[in-house]
Amino acid sequence: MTAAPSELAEPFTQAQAETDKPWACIVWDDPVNLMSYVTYVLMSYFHYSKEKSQQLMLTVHNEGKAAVNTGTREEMERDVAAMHSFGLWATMERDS
Amino acid sequence: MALGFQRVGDRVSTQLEPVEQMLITALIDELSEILRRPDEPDRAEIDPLARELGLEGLTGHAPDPPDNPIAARLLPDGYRDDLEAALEFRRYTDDSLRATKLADAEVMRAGLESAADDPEGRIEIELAEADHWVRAINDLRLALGVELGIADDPSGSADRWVGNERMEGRAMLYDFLTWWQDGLVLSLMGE
Repeated sequence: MTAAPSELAEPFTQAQAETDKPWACIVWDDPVNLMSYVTYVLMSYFHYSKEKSQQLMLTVHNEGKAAVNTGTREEMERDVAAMHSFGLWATMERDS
Repeated sequence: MALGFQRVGDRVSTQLEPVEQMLITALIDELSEILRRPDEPDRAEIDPLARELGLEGLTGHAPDPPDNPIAARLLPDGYRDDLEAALEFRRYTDDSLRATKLADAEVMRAGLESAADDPEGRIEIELAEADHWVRAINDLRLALGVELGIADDPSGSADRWVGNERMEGRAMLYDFLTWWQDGLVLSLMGE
């Protein structure tokens, strides 16, 4: 096995760095969605355990928001759209 | 009086009074009307191949955020502080999000119809259908929440609307759906 000659290696561009940067799906607190329902949604859609789902729900409730998942931009857009179908108030942003 | 939800094997069951079935069905119809896109784009303008592949969003115009406050809450922006990205997100997701919500509403509506046919007003929900139900009930609560101002003021409910018959009725319906949804969700989670 040999290493590829370094001059042929793909240069790591700024554009790639941008694409690889993880994004987050943020769920925001709102006064209508029930605590039980938010927990249920996280269990049903993300297949999180009840404990993890409750913890995330409490973060949303106490801190006003929580990142419920991270991944590529495309994956997070899918998650945000799914949260909207459940009526959760979700947006996406770069994970910090 | 309606009964709570009972888990029996791979389904949950409950009962509704005829008046409850009627009020909720009317609410579903109202919301479905709001969720249908008001300015249905001229379908002929859309590339037939794109339509066949379900890619209308790629060729159609980017829809504006809805003016109706209920539609705005049910079809929110996917990005904060980035108007362009939010519009682009809406362009790709608006059609399917509306379709999902209308389909959820239709499943719930059909379930309520079956209750109307049952002498005891029984409703049976298969677990495979449960997400349609919880989403549809939640959309109704969100819509009523906007109307009742609960979206801005968490403390506001029936007592704020004394003397306003319509809004008092809405507040009671909101409280009923809150109780009903909580019962359904807890029984789905096995509690």
